[in-house]
Amino acid sequence: MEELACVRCMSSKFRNPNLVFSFNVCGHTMCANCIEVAFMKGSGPCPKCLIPLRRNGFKLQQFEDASVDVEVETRKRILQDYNKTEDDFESLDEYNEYLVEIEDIIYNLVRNINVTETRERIDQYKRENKEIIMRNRMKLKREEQALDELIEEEKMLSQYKRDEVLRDEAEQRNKKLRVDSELIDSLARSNSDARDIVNTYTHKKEEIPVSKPKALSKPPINFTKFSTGVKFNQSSMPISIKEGPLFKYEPISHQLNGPACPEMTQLESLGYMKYIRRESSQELAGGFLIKTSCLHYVQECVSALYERKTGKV
Amino acid sequence: MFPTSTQKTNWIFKDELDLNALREDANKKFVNRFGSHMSPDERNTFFLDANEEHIIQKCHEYMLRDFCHKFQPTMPKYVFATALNYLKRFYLYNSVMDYHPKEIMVTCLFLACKVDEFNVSLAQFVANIKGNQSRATTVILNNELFLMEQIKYNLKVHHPFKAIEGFLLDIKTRTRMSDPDRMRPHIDSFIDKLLFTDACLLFAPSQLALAAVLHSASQIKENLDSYVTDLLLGETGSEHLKDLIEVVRRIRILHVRIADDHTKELSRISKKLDKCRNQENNPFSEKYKDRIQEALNNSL
Repeated sequence: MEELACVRCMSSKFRNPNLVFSFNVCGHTMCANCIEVAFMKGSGPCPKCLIPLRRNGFKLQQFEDASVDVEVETRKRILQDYNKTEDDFESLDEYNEYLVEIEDIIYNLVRNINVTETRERIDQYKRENKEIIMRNRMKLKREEQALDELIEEEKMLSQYKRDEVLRDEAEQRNKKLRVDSELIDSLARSNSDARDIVNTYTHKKEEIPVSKPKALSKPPINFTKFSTGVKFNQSSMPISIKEGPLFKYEPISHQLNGPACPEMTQLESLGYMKYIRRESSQELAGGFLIKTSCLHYVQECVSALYERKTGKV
Repeated sequence: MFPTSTQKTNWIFKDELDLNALREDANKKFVNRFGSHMSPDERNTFFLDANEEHIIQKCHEYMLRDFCHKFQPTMPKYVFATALNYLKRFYLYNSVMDYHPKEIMVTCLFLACKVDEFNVSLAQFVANIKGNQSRATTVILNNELFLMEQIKYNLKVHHPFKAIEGFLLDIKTRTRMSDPDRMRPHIDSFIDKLLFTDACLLFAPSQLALAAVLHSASQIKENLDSYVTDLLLGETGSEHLKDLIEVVRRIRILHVRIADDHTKELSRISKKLDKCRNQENNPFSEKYKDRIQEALNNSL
């Protein structure tokens, strides 16, 4: 097999082991330097096959044969749309046919066979199965999320366990050290037989329970969710809107429970506005009308004037 | 609007007997909970009775007023009035011995600042408190939600201030009284005094405002009787006149009765309170720490 080489400068891994190769949709390999030079403007033709390429379409090459990389990429792209699962089909045969179709499409795209025709087929499929595609995508996303959460939880648990063990060991060590220092102390101060003292302390030391794997207490819960199950720092999921009867405006009727009160329109003619300041031009610009406040004051003084509590609870 | 408010449905009571009964209940509940091992005599000497509780509460209401006077930036009166109302509501169903009024008082005020759109940050607020400010911060944050729960999340409080403006406007418009603004100082002092009574738990704000206006009219030797009977109530409202007169009379009685001075008794009762208060709610006590620790453990 020929050596992997950049189609523009012809240098290969053999000559320069540090070369980083990338490929684009046509499957031709280029080194990072050449991409930098040839696609300064962001797009341009492939030096080999003259297909117009975009610079951000370049992907890092992982396989020696670029065509494998192209296939992997294409497969990824196609499977984003062709994401039906076996559950979406009535029989296994249908599902198998569907899988064969996918393989056909991928093969066609990679080998450049009937490309326009194949693309049309994909578009048609997308149009026909829009809802199923969307639904399956959401499902996949959710599954991934659940998996991530599980992994996160497991990580936390194991971390906690490790800490617990370390803590236990440290405690054990401290206890032993304490007994030792006590022994030295009493040897220095006590008047009784040194051998007795040493004996009692060796007993004591033996009595220290070997750290037994005690039943793990539950790790402290790290709150990463609201009580509704929405995670912190996560944009909320789209809320499904319930279709109901349309909102119909009904003017508010005030139950004043007091003497009658002038209407907004009467304030001027009854002369209330004479005794209240005019609104400033800034307030007017903000949509504030002093009339509203005036009415509010007058309403406030008559409302519930007849109020009489006759016993409660 | 007051007639459809939660204040009217939940926080206006028939008369003072109702209020006193609620306070007695709260007191008794606390004594029964913590004094089960004591003889009745011991209980009487150890715990506060409802009256002593009320005195403590009153004294803290005045403390709150002084605090609001000194508050920087200057605080509108309605914020203070709202806080006072929260305090009164809170101690209808809770005992002073259970939750120390000093803590509830600042929490009430902080909540009132938020509800009445008097915009101060917690740091700004706490800067007004003498003494341990970081402790005050935790006290406020710890108590805030609890306070809201205790006042049943009924946060909007209607005050007589707007109604007073309404009455003055109405009097200016519909009567020939010369310069009604002369009444203002009298109205203000009347309302200021009423704030410290249970008036806001018994009457609608418009009724309080009317009483204030009528009271101050008599102070400046004016007569507004014809305004009330002919203009305000008119033909349709004449049947309510008797009730209204009764209401105004009761409000004025409340206003007269306020004079009691409890400062002498205060020190004695406070000492007693320090002994008998619920240590589980005293942030300085060991019991409090135990309880918090336990709550933490249980939540895991």
